[in-house]
Amino acid sequence: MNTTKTITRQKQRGMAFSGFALVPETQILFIGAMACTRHRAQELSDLQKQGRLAFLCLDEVDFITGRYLSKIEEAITELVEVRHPGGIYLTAGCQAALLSTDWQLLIDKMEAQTGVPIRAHTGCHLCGVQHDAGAEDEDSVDSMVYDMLQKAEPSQEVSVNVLTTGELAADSELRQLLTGAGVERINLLRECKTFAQYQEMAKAHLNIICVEDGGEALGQRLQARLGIPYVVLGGVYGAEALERAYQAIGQALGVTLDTAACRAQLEEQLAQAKRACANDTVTVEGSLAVAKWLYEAGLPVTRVTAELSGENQDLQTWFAANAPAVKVEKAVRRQGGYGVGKPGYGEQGRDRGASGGRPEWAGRGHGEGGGKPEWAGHGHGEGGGKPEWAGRNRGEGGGRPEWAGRGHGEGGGRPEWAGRGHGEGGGRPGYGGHGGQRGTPTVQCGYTASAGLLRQLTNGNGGLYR
Amino acid sequence: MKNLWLSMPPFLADTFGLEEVVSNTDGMGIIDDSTEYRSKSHAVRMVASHIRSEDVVGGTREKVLGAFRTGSNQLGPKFVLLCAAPCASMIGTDLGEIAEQITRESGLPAAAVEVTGHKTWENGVARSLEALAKTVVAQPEGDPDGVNLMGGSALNWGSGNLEAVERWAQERWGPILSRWGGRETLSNLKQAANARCNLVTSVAGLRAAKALQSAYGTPYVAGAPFGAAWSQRLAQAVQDGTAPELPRNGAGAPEVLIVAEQYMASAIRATLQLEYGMEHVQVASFFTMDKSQQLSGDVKLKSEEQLKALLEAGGYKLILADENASALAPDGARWVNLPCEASIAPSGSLPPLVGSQLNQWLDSVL
Repeated sequence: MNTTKTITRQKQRGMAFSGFALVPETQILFIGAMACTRHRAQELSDLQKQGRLAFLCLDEVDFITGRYLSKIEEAITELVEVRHPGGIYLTAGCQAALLSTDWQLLIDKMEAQTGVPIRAHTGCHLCGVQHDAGAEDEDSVDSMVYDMLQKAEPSQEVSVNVLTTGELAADSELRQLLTGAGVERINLLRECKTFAQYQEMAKAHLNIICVEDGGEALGQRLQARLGIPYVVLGGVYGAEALERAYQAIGQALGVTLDTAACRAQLEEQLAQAKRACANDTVTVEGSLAVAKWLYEAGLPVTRVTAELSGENQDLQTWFAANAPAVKVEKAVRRQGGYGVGKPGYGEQGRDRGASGGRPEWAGRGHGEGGGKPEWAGHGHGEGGGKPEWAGRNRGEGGGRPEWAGRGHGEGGGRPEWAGRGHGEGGGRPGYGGHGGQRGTPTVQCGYTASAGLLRQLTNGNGGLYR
Repeated sequence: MKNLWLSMPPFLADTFGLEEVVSNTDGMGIIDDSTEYRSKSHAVRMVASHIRSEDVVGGTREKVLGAFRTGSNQLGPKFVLLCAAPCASMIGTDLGEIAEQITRESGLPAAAVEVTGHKTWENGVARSLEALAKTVVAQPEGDPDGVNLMGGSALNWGSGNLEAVERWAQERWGPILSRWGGRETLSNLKQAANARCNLVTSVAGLRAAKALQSAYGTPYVAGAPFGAAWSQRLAQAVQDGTAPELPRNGAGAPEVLIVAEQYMASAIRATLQLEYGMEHVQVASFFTMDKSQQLSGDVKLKSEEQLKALLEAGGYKLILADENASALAPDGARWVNLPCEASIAPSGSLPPLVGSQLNQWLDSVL
């Protein structure tokens, strides 16, 4: 019987403002009314305990009279005196936006006064700004984490930046290819321990951009400001496109990257996928680029759902011109959930944590995952994986133990599924709730990412593999 | 700097106080704000107007009414409380007028509550309970009988202590007439004026108690029933209809500092004085304080900076406060964790405190 197989590329959610803490030796100043501190409260409190964040809680009179500006200045001065940061990120919300705050004027004054670089993150719910915007948005956290870099001359040794907010494992494809080609220094944001080490990133010879979306925009911005050329590797799929990307990396660094083994593995994976889908149709969720690759590779793609915007207009046009039989649909963002749950799946769970899984799978308890009911995890916040996979720490996911995220409240699905928030299950991308802190993402790009997508078709497991 | 919190996480805002009240009843709350509010402990009975920046020009009235219509379909409320959140409070929508419109449209009692997200949680509980006292309570019938419990909530004490207070009261006075701040229905709240006496167990219940006294002459007794001796004194006060006698501090410098909601702190102080031989115990609180419960030297705290100065100058032998503040203490200070559950990130849960349970806890930590 013909069935429809689904391949899902989960959109990597941008970081919340706690992501600024990735830039070492910086301070976050959270500015707002007392009620505003409810957003990601536990994360912010954890950062405060680490000495990385302070709250500036202002009242109505402060805002209405304009006194809030001088209070922000006073707070910045005190932070510099007490904590001696390398830089300060200001995060403010609705009231400051409502009053059309001139952040640049304030920043210019305080940078001159303190000698410390300051940036303001000012998206707010009132303005409808997506707090989880990715690197395509220059005001997103994912982009602003590089704003403290100051232009410098390239280093003598060959060095590259791998631009991602995740980790790059020692045995990852990209790291092995680069070290195998003699690249001496690979810089990652998460591996910087000091502000000085972070500034070394400004001396890199090349930015390899491994964000899933918005890589081109991020690369252009950093090249304009720091003079560092870039190659986009994230969001690139298929052997041909990947070969072009790796050749561009090699040319920029004056080295040769040996991708033969990776390419062969991907081609084998593609052959397996074609065999597995011989009598089926394929639906792609989450990426027009993935759908285009698979269609051109000969897989029976009949439908794709993704966010449709000006940024992928060229791909929408391509499908209309070259694959008119493929249904291109706008992804539906389920209430409280992310990703592209199937129609009829997931509405909200109870309160925090909105499941995107099948309604009858909605987990129980405080925050709900999207796994099968009998898999519901235990503890404060319940995941959806098998019980023996229940993660550790407060809030337990249901993924395999080795997948258990870290921190307060963890998803338990595959790392790339890591539930978000205060104990959330993992579920397939598009499933699983959300809430507070998530597990640390690993970089997903290159041949490995493409092969991982294909494995969804051959063994039925969802998510991206590293 | 006064508004800067470097070490301690801020407290839950007054909007959470209103949310706690309505979510424990069969009513509904409407918050004029761009996003939802959620409770840490239970399903919410709050809806948001989901305003956006363009509503600055057009006003939020229609969105608030829309939130009511949607919410009432989902929740089937028996009454409605409305409040603003920080940005909506600057827009200045007339929530009182909207409350009147809701009542005209639905027949439900409705009231606007002066809560804007800028003050601490007990203000939200207090003003919500006061609004209910003024809006839903019916004229008394017959002779006054029974006791209302006013102000205690899981937000401040945790549900265990809240339930234990209710059991303590029931053992002495039979079924409680109505619980103001705990789980309750409108039909019980309406009968509150029939009470012989209101027991105000948290400062958050004081406004409502005063409103009921003003409207119906119902006397109230203030105090949290924590500690064996103090809770006996309190029970006798309710029986007699008089204020319980607060133990006085001795002369000399305070040896103990308690930082907590005032009625809880006062009960712990009284227990330390009556049963543990401590002579001078000082109470400080970041929350509203009732003058009738204050002793000389008690402090209303306005900032982390002020608490730090108090700790450094005080020379206390013992400090009972949330360990989130312990970084402010001078080296060598003896700190016993008394969690503040109404923090955005509490350090833990309060231990059982009702009656002799407080004594058991003190025995274990002192």
